[in-house]
Amino acid sequence: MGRKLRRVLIANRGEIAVRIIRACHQMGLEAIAVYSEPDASSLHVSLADDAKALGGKSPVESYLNSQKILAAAREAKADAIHPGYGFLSENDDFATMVQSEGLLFVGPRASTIALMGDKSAAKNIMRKAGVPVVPGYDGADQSDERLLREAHGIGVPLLIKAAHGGGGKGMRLVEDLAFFQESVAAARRESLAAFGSESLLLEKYLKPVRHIEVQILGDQFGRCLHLLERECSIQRRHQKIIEECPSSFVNEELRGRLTSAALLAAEAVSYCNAGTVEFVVEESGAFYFLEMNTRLQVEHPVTEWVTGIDLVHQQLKIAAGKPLEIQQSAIRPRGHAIEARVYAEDPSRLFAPSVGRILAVQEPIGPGIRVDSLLFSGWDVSPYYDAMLAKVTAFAWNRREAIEKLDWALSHTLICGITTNIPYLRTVLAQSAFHAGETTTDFLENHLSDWQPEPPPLEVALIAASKEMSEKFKSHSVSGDQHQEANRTLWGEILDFRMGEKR
Amino acid sequence: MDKCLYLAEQEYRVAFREHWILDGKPLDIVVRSGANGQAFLRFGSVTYPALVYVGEKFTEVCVEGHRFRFEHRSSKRASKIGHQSGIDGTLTSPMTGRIRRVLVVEAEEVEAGAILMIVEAMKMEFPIKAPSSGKIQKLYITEGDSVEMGVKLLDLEVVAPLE
Repeated sequence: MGRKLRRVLIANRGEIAVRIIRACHQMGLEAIAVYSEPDASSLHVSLADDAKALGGKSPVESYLNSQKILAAAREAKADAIHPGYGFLSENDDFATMVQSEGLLFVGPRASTIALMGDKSAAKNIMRKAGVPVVPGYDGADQSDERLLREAHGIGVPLLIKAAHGGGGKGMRLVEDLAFFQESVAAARRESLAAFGSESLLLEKYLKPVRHIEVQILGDQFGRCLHLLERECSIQRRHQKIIEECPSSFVNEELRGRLTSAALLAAEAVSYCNAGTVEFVVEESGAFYFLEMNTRLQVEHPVTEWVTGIDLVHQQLKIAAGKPLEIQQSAIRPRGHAIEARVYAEDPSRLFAPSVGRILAVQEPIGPGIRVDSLLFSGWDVSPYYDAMLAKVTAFAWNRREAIEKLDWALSHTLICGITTNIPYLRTVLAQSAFHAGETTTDFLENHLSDWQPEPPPLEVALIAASKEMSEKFKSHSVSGDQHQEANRTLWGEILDFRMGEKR
Repeated sequence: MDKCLYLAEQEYRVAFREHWILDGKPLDIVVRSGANGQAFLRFGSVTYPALVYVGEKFTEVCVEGHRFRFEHRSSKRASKIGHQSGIDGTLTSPMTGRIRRVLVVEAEEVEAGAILMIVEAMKMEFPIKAPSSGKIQKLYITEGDSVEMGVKLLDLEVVAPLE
C-alpha cells in the first residue's frame, strides 16, 4: 500500500463520529472532524485534532456533499476517510472520488458498494451463490404501472423499499393495494431526500420473522471472517431499536448455516473491510437474504462485546493494507450483549421528534455497560438529522443478566430538556415475551401497540424539584442572620411554581 | 411556610419539617443528593434515580426517563403549545421541522382525520390531520417553510362542534 495512515477524516457526525475519533486516538492516529452549521459545538468537533466546517444545515449541504468533504480532506491533509454509517458510507461514487484523490477509503471497494447498493444486483449474486432470497420485484422499470402490476403479482402484505437506502427511510408497508400509489409516492420522496435516488423495490412481507444478520470482516488479501450473528428483530417502523448478540433463537446448527451463507456472499464479491449480511429467519429456521450493508452498522457494539474485537480498529487496519490477524476458530460466542437505541422522540405523542437544548444529562457507568453518545448539557438537538442520541449497551454472562443490566442502565440514563423513548425501551425489556426470546419483527405491534407511559409517582418528582431548588438557593445566600431571611425570600419566590405540561 | 405547586390546576403544598410533607401528610421519601443535580429518592421500598435542572423560569426533573417540568410562577405564563386547540380551531405545529407538503387550500372543506399537511423532521414525515370536520379558513404557511414547534399552521372553522 502506497499511503501510510496517519490522519483520518471522519465524514460523519453524532455518536459514530465520536466513536471513530476515539478509535483513531487509541491507535495513535489523528482524527479530523467535519461539521455542519448546527453541529459547530457538537462533541465530535471538540474531540477531534482538527475540524473543518462544511457550512449548511441540511445533510445535502453538508454531510452528503462529497465535494465539500473532499475539499476538507485536502485542506486537512488527511490520508484516509472513514464514512461511518448513513450519509456517504454506501455511496460508490464517493468511494471512487476518495480513491482518485489518492486517499484511503475505510470501507469496501467502490465496485462492491455499487454492486451491493443495487439491491437487485445483490439479490442476483445471492441467487447464483445458492442463498434463498425474498420474493419481490427489483427491476429497472420504475413506472407506476409496472410497480402496481408487480405488486399485484407479489400480493399483500408487501414492503416498498428504497433501492439505494437503509435504516427504514423510504420504507412503507402496504397491506391494501388501494393505498399502494400513495405509499409509492411517499417512499419516493423520503428516498430522494435521504439517499438521492427515487428507485424503489418491492418485497413480499414475511411474518412472523426474525431479523438476523451476520457481521463480516474481509482483508485486502481475500480472506473473510464472520463475527457471529446479531438479532435485530425489535423494530419500530422498520427502524431497529433493540439489538443483541448472540441471537437467542440461533443454535449451533442454524449459526453454521447462516454464517456459511454470509461468507458465501462475502467471498462472491471478495469483500474487503467490515460488512453485514442481513437475513430474515422464519420460525422453521428457513432464512432469506435481505441485503448486504457495506459499512459499519449502528449496532456493532454488541458484536464487539461478545467477540472482544474492536471493529473500527479492524476497519482502519484493513484500510491500511494489513492482513487480518484473527483466526475464525478463535471467534466463539462468549456471554450476551444487548443494545438499546435512545431516540429524541416522544413515544406518548406518536413518537414525534423532540428537539431542543439538553439542560442536564447523566449517563450510566458500571461494569459491562457501554454508552455511545454525543450528549452533553448545553447541546442543542437539531431537527436536521436522525433523532438517535445514544446507544446504551449491556454485557453479561447470559441473556437474562444482560436484560437486567440494560434495564438498570436505561433507568440511570437521565436527560433534562428533551423527551426520549427510554420508558418505551424499558417496557420492551420488561415483556415476558422478550424474556422468552419470542422476538419477531412484529413484536412491538403485538405487545406495545397500546403503550402508555407509566410515570413514576408524582411525589418523587415534586420532592426532587423542591430539594434541589432549596439546595441551589441555599448556596447562593449569605451566612448568619441574613441566611434565613434570604433563604425564605428565595423559597417564597421560587418555590411558588406551577407545573406546566409534561413534554 | 408551605410551598404551592400546581399540576393541571390541582394544587399541591410541599413543606419540609424533618421530613417531607405533601398536602399536610408526611411522605415516606428520603432524598440523597449527588453532584450535578443528580438525586436518589427512596419512596417506600423503591429507589428512584433522578436528575434535576433548576433554571430561571422552570425546574425540570427526569425520573427514570420521564420528564416533569414545573414552571416558576413568578415568570410569565409559558405560551401554550398544543397540537390543536379545538376552540378557535387553530392548528399549530407539533414539532420543529419543515413543511413537506400542504394538501389543502383555503376555503376547502375537510373531513375529520383528513391529512392536511406533512411536516418533516429528522428525515421522517409526520402527517397533520384534521381534528374535526370543517373548512380551512386561513393557511399560515406554504410548502418548504421551516416551522418551530407551536407555530400556527392554519385556522379551521369547525362545522360540527367538538364533543
